[in-house]
Amino acid sequence: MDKLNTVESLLPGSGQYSCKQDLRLSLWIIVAALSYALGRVFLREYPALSVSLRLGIALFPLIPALFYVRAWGKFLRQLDELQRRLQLEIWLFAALGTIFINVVNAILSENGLGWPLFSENYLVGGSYFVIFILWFISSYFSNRRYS
Amino acid sequence: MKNHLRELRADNSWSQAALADQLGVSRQTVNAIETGKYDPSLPLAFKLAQLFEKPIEEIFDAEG
Repeated sequence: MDKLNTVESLLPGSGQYSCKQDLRLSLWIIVAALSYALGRVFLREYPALSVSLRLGIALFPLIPALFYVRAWGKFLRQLDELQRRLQLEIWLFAALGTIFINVVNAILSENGLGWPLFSENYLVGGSYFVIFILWFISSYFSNRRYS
Repeated sequence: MKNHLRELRADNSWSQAALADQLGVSRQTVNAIETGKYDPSLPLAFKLAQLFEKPIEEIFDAEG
């Protein structure tokens, strides 16, 4: 049987935190974020590139992002039944929370009161930041509830 | 749902971690079942019954 994963291995301060496990899971999203940032700079500096090349550079971060999703899928498959259920609840909370915050921000933006974190310059990064924070908070409380 | 997992585990002098290893789940799951915070799936309940060589209804109390 494969070694079981635990959510605590991703939570610094939990006593079971594994930097290696965390990095294995986060590596692809770091690559995606870097390629996204570099792509933005590159496309701004060279606006005369062909459409197909611009499209390729703009969409390139989706490739490491898909690897990130794949890594999470693998991680989830190696959790036991309780932790898998917890993760589904945690991700649902994080996703719905992020949608809610984005909707609130959209309403505020219409009135000129939007948060800089969600301005059009940071929309992708801002949303990822929020989903990560919500995932972390929800993981912490879920683990406390069952430990 | 109430259960007698803690007593059965103690009778066998197993730690939560040792039982978790035998079941292929985390210690957190064993603890959550013992404290009644989580009801196991049917396959896991059968694994427990097999491990303790008892019928499921002797481990889990549906009334509880």
